[in-house]
Amino acid sequence: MRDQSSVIRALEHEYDRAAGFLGRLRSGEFDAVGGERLVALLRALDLPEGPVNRRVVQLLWMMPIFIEWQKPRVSQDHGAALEQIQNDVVTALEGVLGAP
Amino acid sequence: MSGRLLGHWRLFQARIRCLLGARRLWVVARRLLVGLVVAFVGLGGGASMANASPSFSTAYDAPVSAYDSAAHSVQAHTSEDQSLTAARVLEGVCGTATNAAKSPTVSSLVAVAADSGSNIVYRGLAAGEDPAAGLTARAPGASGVSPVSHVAGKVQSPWISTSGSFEVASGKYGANGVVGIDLSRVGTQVVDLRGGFPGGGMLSNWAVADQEVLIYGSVPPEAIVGVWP
Repeated sequence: MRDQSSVIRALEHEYDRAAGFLGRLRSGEFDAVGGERLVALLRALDLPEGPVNRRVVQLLWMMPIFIEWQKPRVSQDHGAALEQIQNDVVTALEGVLGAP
Repeated sequence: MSGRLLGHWRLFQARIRCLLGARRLWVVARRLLVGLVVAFVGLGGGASMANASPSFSTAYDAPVSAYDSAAHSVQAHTSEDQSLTAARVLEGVCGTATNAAKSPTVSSLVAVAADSGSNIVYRGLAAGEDPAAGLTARAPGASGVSPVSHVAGKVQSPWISTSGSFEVASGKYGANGVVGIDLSRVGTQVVDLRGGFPGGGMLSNWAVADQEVLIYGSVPPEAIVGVWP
């Protein structure tokens, strides 16, 4: 996925409080299917060489810590699954943005 | 139009509940009514009822004063939103005032709700929060936590979330009750996010949707001017 406006729309959707994986997570709601969708989205990102849209970075950088912050809100039954999604998100972002 | 009618209906219901539920308080209030009116007129209508009623000093004083102030607020506001808000303040104060006749602990909770209606925000209480003791952030000593981080969900935060909307506080976060907070009685930093964050974005949308107002550190008991169990 290289079209940055499509990327932005897809990433923003994941922050939607009613339908997005991250938005629902903020309310303590763990959506396993949504988590897989988010990881798949990140793995499919293919940002162009050169300048990256600032909005894309805004939507990406907070994801790992955002997930970390929601762990106390999520039932312990989903703790391991959420940990796995967080790991997958970090690994996918390493592939998209690179390491420091 | 329907909103305005609803506001007046809610106000009427609140008054009836007050009169039925706090008859003893009403007796006290009635005795003071003439003095209040005289004092109010003498202060040109702009001064707080609390200041106009220095004779309040019994256990019933604060609730009665709060009732009068809220009632004054209802009559002073004309828009449907303000009317509804003032009616809710009145309901909350009356509920607390009724309890105050039974419980001195609750009585001490309600200080004076002067000028309530214009500067009131609401908080859906978390489990275990006791409004009589005031409110304290989860991590009052934490430093460097931005309002963005708090809205994003950082748990160890020195900020306390409130909403400018009673509907949001009660409907989304009110499972453990709701309190009304007079921001003019809060001594710490207040960040009004009802207009969102500069630059917008998804978290900004969340703050706007929740009509979020953040209070730093703590809310003293005297800033809590209404309790809805």
